[in-house]
Amino acid sequence: MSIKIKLSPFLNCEETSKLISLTREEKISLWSKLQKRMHLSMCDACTKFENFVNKSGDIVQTPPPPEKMPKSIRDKIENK
Amino acid sequence: MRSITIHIFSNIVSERWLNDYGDQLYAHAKSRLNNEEEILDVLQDTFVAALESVSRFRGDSSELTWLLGILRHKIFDVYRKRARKNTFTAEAVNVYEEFKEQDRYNVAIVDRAPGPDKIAENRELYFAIMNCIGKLPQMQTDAFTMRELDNLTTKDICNILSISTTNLNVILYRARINLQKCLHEKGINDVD
Repeated sequence: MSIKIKLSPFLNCEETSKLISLTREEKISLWSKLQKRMHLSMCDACTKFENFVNKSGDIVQTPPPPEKMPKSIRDKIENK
Repeated sequence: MRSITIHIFSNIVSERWLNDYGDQLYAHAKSRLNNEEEILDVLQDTFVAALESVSRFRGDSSELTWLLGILRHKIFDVYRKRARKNTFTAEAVNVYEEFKEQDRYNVAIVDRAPGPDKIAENRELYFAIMNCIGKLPQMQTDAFTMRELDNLTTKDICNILSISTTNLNVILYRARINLQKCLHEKGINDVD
């Protein structure tokens, strides 16, 4: 993803959401961080998106109790 | 005679692995792959590979950890094959349209009081997200899974999928947008 560095501190939702996703992958510049915070302070939608990105990452890390191997698969493995 | 001994030995060992760790290995495979045939193949490959390299297992980790490690690699092989087969078609997700739809600056965040069945909610949420991950285009599913479930580094994922870092970032971005969209369609608008 190529982030164009804008001079203006104001980003739109598309630019901000890309930054939000990128934050999870690599370090973003201080200026980008500022721009992101600026937009987030004014935009509920993007705030929700950031929350979603972080929380969904956490939720999939902790799965509920595991499923048992079904007998059909167990039999097939035993017979190989 | 020797080959029969090895054969019997292999059967005993894999039988025990199957009994002791079968369920956990299956659960892991199931959380990463969505069809039973692939799961079966990957589990069989794991046992075969494990038997071949059992002499190299130094016991420095638990047997389960070791088997899971082999299983993970077999799963990444599946992703690798898939990536080679599919030509990556750019998803025309017009993200800006998505945001423009609603009156952004006037939307109030509704604060949900946590209910008594919070655990049931989380469970439902987990399955909803997993379901949505499965609905993503293949490339996005695999990339997201390796990133958020397996915690692989950017470098490793790019190697497995044969893509650049920039490419990966785009794919992950689209995956996240699509996931949120999918959850909205299920009626889930807040995660906690």
